[in-house]
Amino acid sequence: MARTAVDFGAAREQVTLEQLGQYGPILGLVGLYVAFTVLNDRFLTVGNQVNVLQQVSIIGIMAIGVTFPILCAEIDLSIAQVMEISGLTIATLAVGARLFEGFAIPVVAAIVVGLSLGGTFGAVSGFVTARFGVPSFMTTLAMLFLADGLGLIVSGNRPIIGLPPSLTALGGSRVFGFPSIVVVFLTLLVVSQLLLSYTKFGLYIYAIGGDRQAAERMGINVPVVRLGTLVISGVFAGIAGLVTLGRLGSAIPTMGSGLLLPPIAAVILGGANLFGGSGNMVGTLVGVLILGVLQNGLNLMGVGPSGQLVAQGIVLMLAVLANVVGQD
Amino acid sequence: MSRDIPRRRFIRTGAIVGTALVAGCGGDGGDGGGDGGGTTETTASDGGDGGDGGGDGDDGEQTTTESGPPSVALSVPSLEFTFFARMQNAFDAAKSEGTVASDSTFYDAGNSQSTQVSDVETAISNEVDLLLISAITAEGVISAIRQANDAGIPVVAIDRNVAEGDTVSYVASDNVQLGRRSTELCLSFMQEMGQQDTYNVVQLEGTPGASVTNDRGEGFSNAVSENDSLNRLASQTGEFSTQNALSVMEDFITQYGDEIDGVFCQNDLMALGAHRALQNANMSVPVTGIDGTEAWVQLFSDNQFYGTIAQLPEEMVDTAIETGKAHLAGDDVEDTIVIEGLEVTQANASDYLGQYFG
Repeated sequence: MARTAVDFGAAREQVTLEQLGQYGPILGLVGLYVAFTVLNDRFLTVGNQVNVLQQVSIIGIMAIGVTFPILCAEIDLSIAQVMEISGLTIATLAVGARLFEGFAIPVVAAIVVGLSLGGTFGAVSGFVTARFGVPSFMTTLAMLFLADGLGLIVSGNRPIIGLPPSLTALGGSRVFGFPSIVVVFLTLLVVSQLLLSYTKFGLYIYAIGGDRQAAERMGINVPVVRLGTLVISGVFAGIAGLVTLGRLGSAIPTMGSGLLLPPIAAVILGGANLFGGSGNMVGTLVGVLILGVLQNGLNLMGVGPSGQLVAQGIVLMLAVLANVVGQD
Repeated sequence: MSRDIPRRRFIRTGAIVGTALVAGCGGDGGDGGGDGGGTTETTASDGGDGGDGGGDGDDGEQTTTESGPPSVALSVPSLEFTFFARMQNAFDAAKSEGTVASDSTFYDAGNSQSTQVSDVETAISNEVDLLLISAITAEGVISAIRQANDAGIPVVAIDRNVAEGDTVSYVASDNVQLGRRSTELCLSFMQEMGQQDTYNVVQLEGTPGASVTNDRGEGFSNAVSENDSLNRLASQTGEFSTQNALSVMEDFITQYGDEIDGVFCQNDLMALGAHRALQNANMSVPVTGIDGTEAWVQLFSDNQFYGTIAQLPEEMVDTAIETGKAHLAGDDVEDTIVIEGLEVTQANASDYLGQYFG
């Protein structure tokens, strides 16, 4: 058990180290792993590492989504609320409760509706941003309020329980003993990295994020790409809402609260430039893991809430510092 | 490129300022949401000690000296929260039963402090006989309360007290007591499950620094120090959120495993998360919460060792009306009236759901 645990942790770090030796964030993550392994004997076990992955999956999926707009020099502030309303819509439609009392539709249809809704929110803010030049900061802020309010209407502001098993399976079951939510997270991560690395769309995102005017003059259809990144972000937020249903086993009207800044922080922590043009998905994964490992390790050590906040502040500062030092 | 620099500077400054701004907004919203979903809308109710329900006896008797039922205004922060929606139902019931005059009005402030103040002003100019208010913030309604005082309209504060101005009475739950009772309920479940010398309990706390968190935590500590068999194994914040509670509980299970004999959660939403983590780990230990949230109580039919101490907004409204009427009739009333929470377990879960959520 202990032997495999070490192998597991070491193997993962090795892979990322090879690919990303040039990135600073990895130093922070390795430092955290070393520190917590020394401080707590239960930290580096297979069970706990799977737990960590499970705990970061929701934030991770949202972080992957929001990486696209950030690379494109946009921002999406509505992810937490879009995640909420997508999840709540899927749950209420599948159960046929609250706003949709008596209108239960098949689970698959409910999921399609919920994810399209997430995409629609992204499309609306993306359209206004790309077509009229309103900063995405403002348009997605508007979507934040809109989605928040609609979420309350859809759910009647009460938790929804008794979700069908087929709906909770995506986020709450196990595949060969491995949590399905983690499989979803890692799959999306790989697909997104491939999209960035091997498609024109991915290339355009970097080009626009680096210098929008230059990209425009090269003939890139800038509005479409900007809109596209926000739609992707919205859909990913929707997927996060969907898997949250499985993880919690219920739909909670406030399930998105406090989930705006962690994904964005994770992206930046992973080495992406907040003002566009550089960054990648593996960096986002590292950023997400830094946040998750820190929380998990401190919980295991029994550090109280106030101590945790202090420790988080210090470690985040050190991590971004390592980030800058690593890039030099 | 040279044209590009100002653009970037603009974006950068804008983003930094804006992020700070949204961090502020987001934080607030999160807190409100966390509380609201759990119907723990007792955020500002501080203190509330003493007068342990002693007022009940005096209230019921002398209410009929008035010629007719008084016209009453009830102002609440926001109907977004189930807690206040239940208050509205109780108020409507009182109207139809004739306890209060039929022209009595219910005001929903939609979480806006200025709306609440103008609601109260409207009620004052309508010359109501009695004003019941659950303030959004204790300080924000001071001017409105003063106006009511000047107009000679008695004010009863419900659930959340007001900072200044004269109130006849303050009707609310006592969070210290709720915390202690829920912890003791957990202890009794653990004793039923098996005899041991000591029972290890973990606590899931609310948002750090919130008065509800402090009060309920104090109740928990009191219970632990009063009962020798009770041992506090660990305590961590779950921020009143199901998701955070789930993660924290997973970490507790990793660290302590079978040592955990029971879980006390400072609200029911976190109990849902704890339940989920225990279920995933194939563990079954007693879990108790506070508030009486519908989704949590619905789980009781599967597990006899799940419980909660429910808050009763209906009783708060009824008691506030009675107290106000007693005051109008010239009786002395208690400054603070504590509404005892209702202990809900598998035994009375279906009754509870039927009565308040049916």
